[in-house]
Amino acid sequence: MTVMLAVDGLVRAFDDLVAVDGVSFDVAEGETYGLLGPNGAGKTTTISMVAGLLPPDAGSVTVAGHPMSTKTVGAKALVGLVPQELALYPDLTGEENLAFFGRLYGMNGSSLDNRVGAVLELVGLDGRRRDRASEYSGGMKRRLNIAIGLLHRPSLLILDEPTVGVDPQSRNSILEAVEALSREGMAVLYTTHYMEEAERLCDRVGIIDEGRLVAEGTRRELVAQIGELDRVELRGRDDIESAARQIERMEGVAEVGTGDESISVLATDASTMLPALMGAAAAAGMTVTGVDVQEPDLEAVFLHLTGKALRD
Amino acid sequence: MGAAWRISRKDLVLRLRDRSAIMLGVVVPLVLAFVFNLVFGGAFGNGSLVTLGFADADGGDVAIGFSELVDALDESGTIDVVRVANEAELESAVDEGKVAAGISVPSGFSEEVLAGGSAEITVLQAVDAPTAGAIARGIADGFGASISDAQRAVAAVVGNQSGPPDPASIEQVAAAASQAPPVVTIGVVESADRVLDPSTFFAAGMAAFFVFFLVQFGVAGLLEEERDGTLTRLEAAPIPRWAAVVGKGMTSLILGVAAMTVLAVATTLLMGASWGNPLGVGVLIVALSLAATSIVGVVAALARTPEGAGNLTSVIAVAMGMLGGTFFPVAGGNRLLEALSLATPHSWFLRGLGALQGGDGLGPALPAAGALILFAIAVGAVAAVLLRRRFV
Repeated sequence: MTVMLAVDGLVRAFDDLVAVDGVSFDVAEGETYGLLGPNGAGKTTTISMVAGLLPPDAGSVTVAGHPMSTKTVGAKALVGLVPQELALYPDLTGEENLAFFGRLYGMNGSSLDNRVGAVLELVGLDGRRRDRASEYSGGMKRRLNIAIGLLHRPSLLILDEPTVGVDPQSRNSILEAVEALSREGMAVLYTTHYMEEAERLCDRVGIIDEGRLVAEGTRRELVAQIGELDRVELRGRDDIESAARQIERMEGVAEVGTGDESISVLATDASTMLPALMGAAAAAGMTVTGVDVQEPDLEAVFLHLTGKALRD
Repeated sequence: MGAAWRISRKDLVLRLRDRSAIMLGVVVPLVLAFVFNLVFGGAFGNGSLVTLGFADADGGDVAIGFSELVDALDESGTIDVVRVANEAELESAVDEGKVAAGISVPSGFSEEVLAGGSAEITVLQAVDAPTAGAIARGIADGFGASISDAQRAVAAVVGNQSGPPDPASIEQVAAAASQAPPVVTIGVVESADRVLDPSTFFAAGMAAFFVFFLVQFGVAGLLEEERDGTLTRLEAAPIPRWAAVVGKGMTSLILGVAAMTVLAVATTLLMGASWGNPLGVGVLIVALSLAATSIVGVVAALARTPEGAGNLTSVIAVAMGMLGGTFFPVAGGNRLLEALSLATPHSWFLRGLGALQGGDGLGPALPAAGALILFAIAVGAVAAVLLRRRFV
């Protein structure tokens, strides 16, 4: 797969504070890469250097092979940026905001008009296109903020915590839009401190803390790195003890415990093993009435790697 | 420049939409110029020193000469003249305050003068108008002295001969007198920097004063873009980093020139202001807008927030406006103040307009326009360096 973004050894300090310390990662075409870390971890500083807003003290960024710097024009044309803070003109309408930024990216005429319409439709603002942005709700402003970033069909879309302060409905709409863009082949660099968003959207996640990338991989790879197991709870009646003994002998099962009407299982890959577990329980005489699967999440991974919670 | 122009065009749309530029650049200065002219215009006078009455009860040749002299003074704008039929009417006019003083030429005046006799011109003045009285006396004395000189000249020619005057000599004197230059002439000396009439002064003063506030909407808008996060988007866009700064500068210049042009036209039509040669006025307006933009550029580079920039601009604009004489002319004779006023663009702008009143074409405005442009270049260079450090 084509590497759309290559970040190599980025370093940036502000006086004595090293905000980003040797961060390296790649994002491929069609891949959504998440930078997961708490506030102040260095996510926004990293993104600022990736987008050409801030010069790095060391390291390099290339977008589709074009070197990025604060003065670069070619690489910037390939990037769509959605800043963490709302960045739009309240006294311009939704479509005027889009048209203004579209022209800065060299778009004009009917192609610009068509694209403005398409993007407004994508983010669900088509019906409010002629309203001033100041009249939009917070969530609508967030969606317009995103629409501006993807107006010019960027090869790489950078979203810096785009759902902060957004209502659940708008948040879901934003996440759906990002998923759709990823399916269309756009490379997405997504920063968040919401573990659920990273798990839902990102093909790979880089965990960043105190300016350093402490781990990187798919969710499963990260979980595997720390040896966490999936937890399955089988609820039911009848011969629970026999079922527990049967399950305990299965490959991939690390630990089994029983309750009054349930069996608790720790296994390496619960979602794959689930049919076999239920089959074994039934064969042992247990009537299964409910199942609950809990996979180890990135929160646990982050806690394991850094010794602190994501929202610290 | 395309990106800079797009940024500037967006700013202009926003400023016109929220009407702040129209209010600050046109409505407020126009209203203030009108009010100031109404309230303080009288203090400036209408250009005449005083209103004098003139009564010519004689109507003879000599009195007509005097009457023509008074007319010439009236036309020159030195005095305003109210004509009445006779001394009684003149006295009434003075008593009623219609005129501050007056000159009365009695019946038989010309005949007496031509006969070589002693004629009398009466000067009347209101008790509380000694200056007007002095002016009236001065005019009458001047005319009287010229008559006496003429009488002595004739007497010298005619009196040196023994016996009755030779008719040929009289004709010779008469012919010489008719070809001689007038004894009294009214010379109007145009100063290089004529004082603006009140309506023009207040219109131009308010325009110059408020243009400094107006141009903030351009360059200082960088701070608003920074605060609102949109500067980040501009910096992330594939445009030169300087485009935002240049675009904002263009906004300042366009707003300044447009607002001052509208004010010049509006005050000409509504207040009878006389700005002078349009081309010269245009050059001065552009030069002043450039100077104002350069100052606000320095402010934008130094201020941390839009509010801070607004406050700093207000202080500078008020100080320079007062010093530059936009509200009242800088006190004459105070050399320090006069020297300091030369450091303000406002002063040069008003000087340029004054020069346009005293001459034809664009030429008289050029020295002041040159000073303004030099000011803009010097301050603009500082602004460019500071803005580059901060925003580029």
